[in-house]
Order: sequence, then C-alpha cells, then structure tokens
Amino acid sequence: MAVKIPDPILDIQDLSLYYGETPALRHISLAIPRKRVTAFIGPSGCGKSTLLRCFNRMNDLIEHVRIEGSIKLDGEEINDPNLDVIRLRRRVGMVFQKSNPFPKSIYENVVYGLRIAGVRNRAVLDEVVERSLRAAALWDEVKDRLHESALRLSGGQMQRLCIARAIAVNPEIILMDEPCSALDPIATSRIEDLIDELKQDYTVIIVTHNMQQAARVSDYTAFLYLGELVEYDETDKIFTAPAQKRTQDYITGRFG
Amino acid sequence: MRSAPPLPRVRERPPRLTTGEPLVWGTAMGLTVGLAMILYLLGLILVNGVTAFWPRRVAWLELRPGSAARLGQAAVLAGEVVAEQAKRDHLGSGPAPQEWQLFLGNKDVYGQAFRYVDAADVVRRSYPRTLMVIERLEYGDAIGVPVALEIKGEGVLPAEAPRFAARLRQLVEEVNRRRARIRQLEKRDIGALNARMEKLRLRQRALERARQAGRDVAAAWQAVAEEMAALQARYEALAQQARHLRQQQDEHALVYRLATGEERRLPLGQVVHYYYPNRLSVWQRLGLLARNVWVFLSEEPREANTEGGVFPAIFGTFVMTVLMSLAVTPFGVVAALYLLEYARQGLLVRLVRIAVSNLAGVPSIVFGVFGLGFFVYGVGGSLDALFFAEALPTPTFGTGGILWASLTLALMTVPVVIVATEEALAAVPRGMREGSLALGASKWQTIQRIVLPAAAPGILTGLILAMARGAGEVAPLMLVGVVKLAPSLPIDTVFPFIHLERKFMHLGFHIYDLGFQSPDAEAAKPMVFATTLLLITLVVVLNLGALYIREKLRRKYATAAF
Repeated sequence: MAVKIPDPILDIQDLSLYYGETPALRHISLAIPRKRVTAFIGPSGCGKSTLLRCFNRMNDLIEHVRIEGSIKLDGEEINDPNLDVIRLRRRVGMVFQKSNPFPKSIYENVVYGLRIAGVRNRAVLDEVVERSLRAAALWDEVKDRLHESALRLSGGQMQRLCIARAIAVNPEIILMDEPCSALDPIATSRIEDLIDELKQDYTVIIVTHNMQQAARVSDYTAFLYLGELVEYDETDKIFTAPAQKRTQDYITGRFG
Repeated sequence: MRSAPPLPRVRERPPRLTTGEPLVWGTAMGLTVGLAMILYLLGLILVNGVTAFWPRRVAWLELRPGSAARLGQAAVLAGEVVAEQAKRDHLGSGPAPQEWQLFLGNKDVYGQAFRYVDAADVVRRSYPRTLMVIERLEYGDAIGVPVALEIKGEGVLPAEAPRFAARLRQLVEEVNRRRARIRQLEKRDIGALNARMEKLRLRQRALERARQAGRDVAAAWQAVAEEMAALQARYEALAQQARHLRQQQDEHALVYRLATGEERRLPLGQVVHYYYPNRLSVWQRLGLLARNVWVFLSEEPREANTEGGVFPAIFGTFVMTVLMSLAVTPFGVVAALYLLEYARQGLLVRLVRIAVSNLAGVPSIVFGVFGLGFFVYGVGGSLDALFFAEALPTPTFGTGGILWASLTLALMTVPVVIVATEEALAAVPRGMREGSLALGASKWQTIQRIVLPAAAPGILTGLILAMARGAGEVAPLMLVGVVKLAPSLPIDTVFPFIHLERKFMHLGFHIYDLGFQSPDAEAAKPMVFATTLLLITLVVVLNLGALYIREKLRRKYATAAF
C-alpha cells in the first residue's frame, strides 16, 4: 500500500472474515483518515459491505460469522468481545442502502438515538432535531410537519432523514452502505453535496457501486475484489493512475 | 455460428385442462357451498331468534266435539299458533293432514304450555279483542279474558267499567316499581350488609382460634360482637321493610277467565307485563318486540332460565373473554418473543414449535380437566390455605370461578397467539431492526420500540382468532366455574368490586342448559335460538372491536417503505 495516512481514525490490520467456512474478507489492512470521505468500490459480492459492517459490529447479528485480525478505533480494539457494542454504535453511525425510517413521526425518528440513551429534556431534543435536520439539508422541507409520519416523505427525503438520525447521536464516523442506489439523480446529487459538507465534522466511509460517485465525493478510495483489498490510495490517483491492472480494468468498465 | 434447431411450435390454444380453468370453477364452487351453508345457518338463527320476541296474535279456536285436543269438557282453545306443519305420525296414504302447534300458556292450569291440534278439528277460528296475555313471575304467560280487578279497600272493578284499563295500568306500574324497590333492598342493601357480616364472622372465627391459642382477645371480641349486633339490627330493619313491601304486592288481584271457562285469580304482584295481542297495531307490535328484546338483554333469567333475560350470561361471557384476552396476550407474546428472538434456533426450538402447534389440537375438555386439577384444586387450594384459611372448609378460590375459567381458556388459546405473534415478528423488516441497532439500541429496546409496535397488527389477528375460539367454548368451562344460575355478577358495587372467585353464567353454557337440561324443551326453543344469536353477535362485536384497533395500528405503523 503506497498511501500513508497520518493519525488514522480506524486502523485495520490483517482482517479476515468467514461466513461459516467461506471466506468473505481476506487479510485486509488499511487505515481510514480522520474527517475525510473514504469510498469502497468493487463488483457485487466483493465484500465491501461486509467490511463496512465490521466497523460497527453489525455482523454480530448474522450467525456463524467468524472474524480474525484487528480493527482499532482510536486505538481501541473493536473486535474485543468485552467491548460495549452500544457505545461503539453510538460512535460509528450507519446509513443503509434501503432507507429505513421507523414508522414514527419525523421528529421521533431523529431523536430515537437520544431517547434510547435516556435523554428526556424537551429543549435538548428540539435543538438536536433542528441541528441534525439542518445538517442533513432537510430542515427547510420538513420543519412544518415534524410530527407527521416519516413514511410520507419521498425516497430522497427518507434517506436524508436516516442521515439526520445518524448524525443526531453525534457519531465520529458515519458508514454509508450504497446510500444512493435507490434514488434518482437529483436526490443522489443532494446526498452527494451533503456528504461533502459532512466531512467537515465527521469521518465518512461510503460503499458505492457507482464509480463516478466515488470519484466525485471521496478523498480516498479502496478497491476490493473477491474479498481482497486490491488497491487503496487517494481517489485522484486511483482514477487517473491506478497501480494495479485489475483496478484499471474495473474503473474502465472492462469487468464488474 | 451455427443456427439453433427450430423450437417446437406452440399450439394456438392450449388444451383447457392445462390452463386450469376447470379448477378455478372448482374453487369457486367450494367457496359458494361453504358460504351458502354459513348463510343458511345464520339466517335460521336470525329468523328464529328474532321471531322468538315477536308478539303473535292469539287465536280463539272452536273444536269439533270429540277432538283429541280438547281440554276437559270445553271444546275451545285460546293460544298463539306457533307452527303449522304436516302431521309427523301420519301412516296412511295421501297427503298428510295439517296440524297446528299452539302456545296455550297457563302452564299452572293445563300442565303444559304447548298443544298440537289437528287442523281438521278446528271448526272456527277468531281473534277476539278482549283476549289478554299476562306475563307472570311464575308459570310463564297466562292467556285469558280479564273479568275484574279486586282492589283492596275499593272492592271489585269489573272489566266492562270504563275506569278498568287505566286502573289496571296504574296498579301494574305501581307493582313493578315496588318490585324494583324490593329487589334493590334485597340485592344491594341487604347484600352489602351480608358481605360485611360475613367478614365479621370470619374475624370471629380467627379470634376464636387466637383465644384457643391462649391469647387474650376479650376486647377485640367485644368490639366485633357490638359491630355485629349493629349490623344485625340494620339487617332486621331492612328485612322488615322488604317483608312489608312484599305484603303490599299481593293486596290487589286480577281475575281472568280461561278459554275453558274457568276463572282464575292472580295477585297483581305476579304480573310483570300484560297486553291485548289482538288489538295491537303494527307499530305497537314493534314496540313490544323492542321491549321484549330489551328485557331479554337486560334482565335476569327466571323459571329455570326459560323466562326473563340473559343479562348475567352476556356479562359473564364478556368479562370472561376480556379476562382471557388480558391473560393470553402477554403470555403468548412473551413466549413467541423468546422463541423467535432469543432462543438459539435448533432442534429444541423446533420441537417446542411442534408441541405448541399440537397443543392447539388438544380437545378442549382436556384443558378443562387440567384447569380443574391445576388452577382450581392446585393454585386455588393453595391460595385458600394461605389467605382464606378462616373460611375453610368453604372454598374461596379452591372452587370453579371466572378467573380460573379465563386462565383455562387462555391456556387453550395460547398456541394461536404464539403462532400468530411469531409470524408477525418475523415479518418485521430486517432493515428496521438494523436501523435501530445501528443507533445504539439494545436488542430489548429494539424489540420494545420498533419490532413489537410494527408486529402489533399481526399479534391482534392472533388475539381475534383466540377470542373467537374462547368465547364460544363451553365444555372446559363446565369444569372450572360456569353455572346454570349465578346469584351475583363477577363485577358489582360491593367492595372489592371485581370478584374473580365467583362462579358465572355463560351464553354458550346457557344454550346447552336451555336446549338439553330444560324442563320444558318446547318453551325453551325460542330462547335457544335467541341466545345463539346473541352469542354470535357478542363474538362479532368483540372481533369488530379488535379489528378496529388493528386497523388503527396498521395505519399508525404502516411500513409503506419496505
């Protein structure tokens, strides 16, 4: 790996993951820079979502998963069985491929993370709702109907609501698993603008199928293929002068 | 490139059987037959149930001399024609002769209320306007021609007198008011006193036991005795009042003449209601129908349940079903939650699931026996030994009661709720759980705040099925607390208001009791239909309530995004 990342927020060393006996990730090592956008690209089934879900231990929910190697969040081992997963997930938020607002009001969706943490102060909640929705560029569209069902929003609005919901608990990292794959181009471009703003305060890791999107929004890009990390570098370098032939083939559309 | 071999040509119209059209007809027919049978059943119950309350005209029949239907010497009958049918025991050739079933009333005189008359024996049929139907407290209806009123202090007022109608109405109203007052005195006031005296008696027994154990209880004993005496005095006063009112009930009397010519004297205290069946307009008849239905719904049964109303049975069924729902829902939901969310999915869980499904097929009477052994004798007996020892050997909870009946039915219906809940939980989209977990929610928080609300409509579907099964169940109840006639309701105005240990009446059992245990099956038949109609209505109403809640929840938690 050519690129040097000073003071990474996540440091992944020799990470392997198996579904039963089938390996899904093989010996992956990379470092995620702080307050930058990192994109994972690669063909379907290459393990990019699996890798993303390692960072907030969402793979715990799947049975027969075995993980080897180490992931350190600010020096703290994520794979430690004694780790407080709830605290970890507050620090590492996630936005899913399919927007998944809860069948509650917009307001309740945003404050959900605070409510389960036991925050009851109405003033605090109100403030967080406004701040999060503003940060997710949704405030102006929904400020008059905060108590209506979130399920009445459009697809793009729902996805921004999910981002606002993730921001509300003030995480350090936001994981995005193909957040635009179900959205039209206009909604997609709004989310991309949003990602650009989010990196002021948060570290963003985004999984995407769309190479133009990776080129547009990310600072660093990792290309995964068949569970292996093929190449990881600054986005400009990956897309202009990839070191590996497989990367070159993928970004020029020769396979995948 | 080689060209592919040509595909076999597809026939323009495939043969009928392969398109499956005959099967579509088959399914439609199956549904139609099922619907027709259900509609016929409902129609039969509806028609018979409603006509049971319809005030029919009373026919005055003059019979051929020597007819077998004659009563004594008289060749005249007065009664409602209930049915006209072909004779059942007709053996000869040709069309069977017609016979009429008559409701004669006057069971105290004739011995039976119904009589069959050959249509050929009837010489003349008329509907005299003077005939009166008198609903009595005992012996069912009387049918006759009013002759006179014997009024205490005023003498005899003949029926021809112009004041007769108004006076009769006024006196009957007075009698009914007084009867309500007596009832209130005896049921509520004296009942409350009795409850307090019973408690004092129990305390006396406890004190007695303490005295035998060597403790000094003289002061407490004295206090209890004084309180008892005070209650006794109040009881005497109330009882005296009730006795006095009762005497007044029988001061006046109505004299009427039967079709046979015999005159009968009826103390007015016995009259519940009266009407002239051949003078009523259609609207009056409808009004009377409404009154009869209301009486049926709101009053207590009389005369071995064949007269009066079924209110205690409605109330008992309702309370039991609600209690059962309250018990079965948390139990079933918690069990399903553990099975689906927490238990390690493996052979054991599979076996448990099979066992749960099989439990739904166990005959209900088996649950009744289990309820009797476990709840009544086991749990109830222990409760009695622990908390109601003073009352022993009279059992408090150690005998059938509405609580044990509800719990037995809850046990019987819990498989339905478990299966429905598991399906509903499994149908909650994975994305919603993950969304919650990714925000730092614990598994329980996710279940409580996201999964259960989203699964609530499905859980309610299970509850609806459970209620429908539970409300109509009779066999197990006979072992764990249903009775033919319950002296008091499970919920009333006497502290502590909800009496879960009490025995109760139930519409399903009421049907069984009327139809098969009644001394006069003919008289009970309309009541059987009416009660069946009511039971069906009650189940429908309970289901509609649950459906309404489910729709509201669906709208609230609609997961349109998935």
